[in-house]
Amino acid sequence: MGTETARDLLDEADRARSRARAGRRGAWFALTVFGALVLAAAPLYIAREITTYPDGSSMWVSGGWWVSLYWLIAAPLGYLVCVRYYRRRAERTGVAGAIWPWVATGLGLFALMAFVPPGVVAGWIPAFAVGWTSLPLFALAGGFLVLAWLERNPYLAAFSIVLFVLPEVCGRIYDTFLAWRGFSGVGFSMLVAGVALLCGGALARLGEGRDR
Amino acid sequence: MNGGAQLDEVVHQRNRLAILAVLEEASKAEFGFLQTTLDLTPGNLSRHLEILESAGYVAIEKGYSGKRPRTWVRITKSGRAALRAEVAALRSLLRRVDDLPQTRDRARSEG
Repeated sequence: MGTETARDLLDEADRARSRARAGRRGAWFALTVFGALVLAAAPLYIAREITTYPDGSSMWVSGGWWVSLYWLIAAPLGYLVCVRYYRRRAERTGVAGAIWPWVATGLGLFALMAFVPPGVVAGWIPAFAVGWTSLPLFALAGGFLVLAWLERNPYLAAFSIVLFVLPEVCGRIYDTFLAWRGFSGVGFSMLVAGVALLCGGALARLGEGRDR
Repeated sequence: MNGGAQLDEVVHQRNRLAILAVLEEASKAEFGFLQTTLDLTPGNLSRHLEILESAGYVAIEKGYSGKRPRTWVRITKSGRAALRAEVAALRSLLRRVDDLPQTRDRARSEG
């Protein structure tokens, strides 16, 4: 067998692989769904409630049990909608990709945050950790990192890393420039992350359309 | 030098290699998708799939989507292994050919 033939075979296999990859990518939808959910959660963080720690100290924190409740309903719902989308899309296009590792990672991280609270909350709400921090964004970012790996999508991987550091950056910006406005650092992070997810979804949609 | 000892005749064919490459990338693909993506006729694709299926490299499921019959194809564990072995063998062949002039120069300078 000549080297040209070997090279041709490998090139042909690579081309076939990239066509399949382009056909099964659907991250734009997931980014859009979770962008909308994150954006809808932002106003809930304006409210504040008092939290008691095991040593008896207490402090005011943003969000609260209703934010926990929101995420405990919204996160599984979001993944359910995405799973349905991926299934319908596979039926339509004739190519399916693995998505369960993404769903399992995302929901697993949410569950971990919901049932391993960092402190003791007034009223012993178990989902407290999800309720007043940016942890939902970390759960989403971790999930998207897995989706990026499954879809061999370097842009989504880079976006997931940005999502990991976004709460820290937004928190600092809020503390330095915006704290007087009476919102909350976490709420501000959610607002920015929601807009970023929606923009990411729109860009991914354009990219996926072009690749096909 | 042909590297032929490592090449699997079932996979060592342009279309079958491409079919396995598509299936490795996707968890499953439909007959129509494979046909369009690889630009094959239905008869041609069926023949290649039969060969791959009898070698145990793909699994074929037939079903319906509404009233429309659909054939889904998945790569098996041994299909994945065969594809990787073939790609590795082809790459190693290309590497050896690329190294050949350097080896010849080295032999000449030592001789």
